[in-house]
Amino acid sequence: MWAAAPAVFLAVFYFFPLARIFWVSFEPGGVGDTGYAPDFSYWGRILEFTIRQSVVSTMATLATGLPIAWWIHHSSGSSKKWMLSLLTVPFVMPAVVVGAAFTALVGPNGLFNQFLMSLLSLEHPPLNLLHSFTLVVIAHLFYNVSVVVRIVSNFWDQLDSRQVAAASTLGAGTWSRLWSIEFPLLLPGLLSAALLVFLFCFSSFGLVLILGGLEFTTLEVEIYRQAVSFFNLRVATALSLLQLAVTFLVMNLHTRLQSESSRPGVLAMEPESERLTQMPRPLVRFLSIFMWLAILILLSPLIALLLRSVTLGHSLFSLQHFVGLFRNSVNNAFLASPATAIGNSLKYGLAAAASSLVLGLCMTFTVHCAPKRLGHLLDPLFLLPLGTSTVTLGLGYILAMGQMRTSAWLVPIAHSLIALPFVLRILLPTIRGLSPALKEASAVLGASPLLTWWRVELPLLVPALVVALVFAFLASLGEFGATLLVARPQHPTIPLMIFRALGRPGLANLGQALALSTILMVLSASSMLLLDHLPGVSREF
Amino acid sequence: MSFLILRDIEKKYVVDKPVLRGFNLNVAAGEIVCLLGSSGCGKTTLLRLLAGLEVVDGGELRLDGTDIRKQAPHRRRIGFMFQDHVLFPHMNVGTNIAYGLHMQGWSRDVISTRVEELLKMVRLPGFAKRGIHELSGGEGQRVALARGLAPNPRLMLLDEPLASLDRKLREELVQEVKELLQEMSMTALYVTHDHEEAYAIADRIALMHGGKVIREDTPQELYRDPGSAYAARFLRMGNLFPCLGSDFGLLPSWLKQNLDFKGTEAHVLIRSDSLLASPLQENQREIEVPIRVRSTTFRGRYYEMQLDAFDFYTPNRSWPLTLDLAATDASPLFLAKLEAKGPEAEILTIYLDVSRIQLLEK
Repeated sequence: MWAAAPAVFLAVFYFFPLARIFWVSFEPGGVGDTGYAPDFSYWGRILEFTIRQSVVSTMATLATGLPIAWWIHHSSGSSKKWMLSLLTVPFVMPAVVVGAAFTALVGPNGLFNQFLMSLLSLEHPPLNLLHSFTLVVIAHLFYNVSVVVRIVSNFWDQLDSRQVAAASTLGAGTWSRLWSIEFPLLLPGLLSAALLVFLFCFSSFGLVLILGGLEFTTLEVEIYRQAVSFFNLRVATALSLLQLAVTFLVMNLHTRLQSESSRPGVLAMEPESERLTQMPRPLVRFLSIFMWLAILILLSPLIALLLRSVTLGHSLFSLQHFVGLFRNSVNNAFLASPATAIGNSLKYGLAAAASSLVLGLCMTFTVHCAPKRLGHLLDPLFLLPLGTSTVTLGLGYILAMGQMRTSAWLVPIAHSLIALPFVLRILLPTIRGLSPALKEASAVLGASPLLTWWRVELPLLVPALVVALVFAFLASLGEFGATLLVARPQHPTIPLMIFRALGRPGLANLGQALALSTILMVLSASSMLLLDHLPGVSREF
Repeated sequence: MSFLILRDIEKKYVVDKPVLRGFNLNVAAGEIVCLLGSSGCGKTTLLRLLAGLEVVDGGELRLDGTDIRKQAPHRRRIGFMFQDHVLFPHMNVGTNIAYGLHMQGWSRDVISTRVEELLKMVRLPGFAKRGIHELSGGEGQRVALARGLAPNPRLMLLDEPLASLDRKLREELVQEVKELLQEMSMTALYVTHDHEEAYAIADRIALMHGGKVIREDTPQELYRDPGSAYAARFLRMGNLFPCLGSDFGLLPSWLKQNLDFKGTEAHVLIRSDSLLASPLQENQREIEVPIRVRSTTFRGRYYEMQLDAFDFYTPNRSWPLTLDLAATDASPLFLAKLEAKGPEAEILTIYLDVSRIQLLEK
């Protein structure tokens, strides 16, 4: 009963578009056609760069994330909670906001250059980091460090601390304990985090498009360029296939690793984290200051964004760029005013959140009520959209939707599809965490199954539903890849508006981009912080 | 006819591994029957079958004359108290108790009176507005009991309701639960693995083993005569010695002389309280037993003594014997006598009360 709606939705708006991509790429003249002579050096170049970029980004992220994870594991109480929340802020930022934030930090008009110019009285910005490989890597690090920290520190917390204690009674010092006991035990968590980060970097689109410029082309960016700039759908679909193949491979590895690492025996019966009391106090204080400083540096692009949005073109403080957004002048280059974009984003966001919540609830009960075997099959099936690149999805919609592809509804539909796995990942653990005895207790007290669902199961899901709703809304608000391909130029969303404004010269455009980004940033960050401190909900990511 | 009739109940989760096979039990109205057995003997499964949380594979299930096998759990009007209270976390104490009353369509003011009445009965007056997370373990179980009893079920099932509480609280609550059930003239099935809890609460005990009832009697009668070696072992009554054939196999001669056995296979039970501190009472037979003390453990009300018993006719054999010596009987003189321990120690003589030695025939 529960399965019908999500099944139809996934079939029409996920599997059918993907099937169309296959179909088009195997049509005569496509890559699947025997007469097609592929340009291997072109393919190789793109794939090589995409992988190199992802590997370097992943390594950098791990190198930064591990010490922080170590510190988080060893700290406790509210400082731990806040550190984790603050670190997660970048992860929930839309890609365009991160792009704008780095522009605000290191761009020609950025905080860094402005500071150096005024300090050394220079005429021109001394640094130009935009459109460099380093910046792409740094941006990916900024984005994904929380993935490493969250997964690894959580894994660390769950290790049986008695094993470490046993090692120290056997004479192992801090370093040999870390190397011989903790590191091997952490390895599955470490690998799982690394794979996830790799996957995110591999399918990163908006960041590379904005910060990488024309010189750096990853698979995702190339799919977009081929499809939109050159309208070369055959090459685009072929690249999409490659993209799909790699992501599914990595996703598969990741899920396998996860089921490996959750084997009993690895996890402690009573997680109890080792405190820092054995360390000398001054060292603890020094490390603590150091860590907070690191977090500050990590968040500096966002801070720069906030500062530049109110100081760009002025020496002190002005809300000019924010006021400008609502002056309702239709910029000819954009075909719509910023206020319209904000309205569109909110409208799409609400629609996407509502529909993904309803569908997600249906999915949750489908998986939960299905027989065990079927549930094991359905769970990853419903998660598939998580691993699919949004640009590929957008391309699929263009190919598959026929007349509907000009419809404004396609945007919220794409958004709810992208939000669905998150909704499922929030709702499913919550309902699985409910004791089945609660349902039984309700039944023996005389409540029919329907009444039990209404009075016991649903009310207990409410906190998770709120979290899922906010998450879906945020996901829609920040979605860039699919929207870029699917949305009509006259119906832009905030991220599209930011992207276009960033690509145009002039302080006014940049100011508009920064102001819009700041609004998105504040919205995303505040809801995330709020949710993190909401009691009673656990998230699986 | 009995109020609750269970006949030849069968249940299996896995093929060839029945949890219940040929389970039979009759319960009269207002009776508290205790299902006693080790874990895995099927006692919880039986309660779940009765409540309708599991489906019966075979057999007859009658409550108040009607077959309830096909009834949905929410229509059976059978109360259930879980081991770890299972109170609804999104409701407070009052709404938890009122839940079943709402389901029966009671009116609002009648419900609130009833809730207060029940809270008073479980000695938690004024708790209605409390949150579930504010309750202690004992309070949680009291609320769970009130919630189960509130809609006036035809039958109350209690599944190890006190198992997660500490010993002192458990002993207090057992008494309260019993009084409450009796006061309401409630028919109840109470599951436990603790024989002392069963003695305390039950009008009748049904001892379960291997998916069926192997013995059914009042607590006093069960204690007087466990009936089988399994029961005696489960009820921790003392030492058991198997004897084969009419010559009693390898029993020591001091035991053989005091037994009258015609069958082929049996167990001799020497209860742990059969030790006599002062021998030679008028009109009573006692057995003289040569022993060596292995260890003595002080248990508060008694000393637990691990002994090796001997038989002068078969000097190379010994029989392990565990006996309790009441602390009031443990005179310094007697204890001093038992002071010598180990294989080198001198062999002593103790006296056993013949009336505490029983033959359990197969």
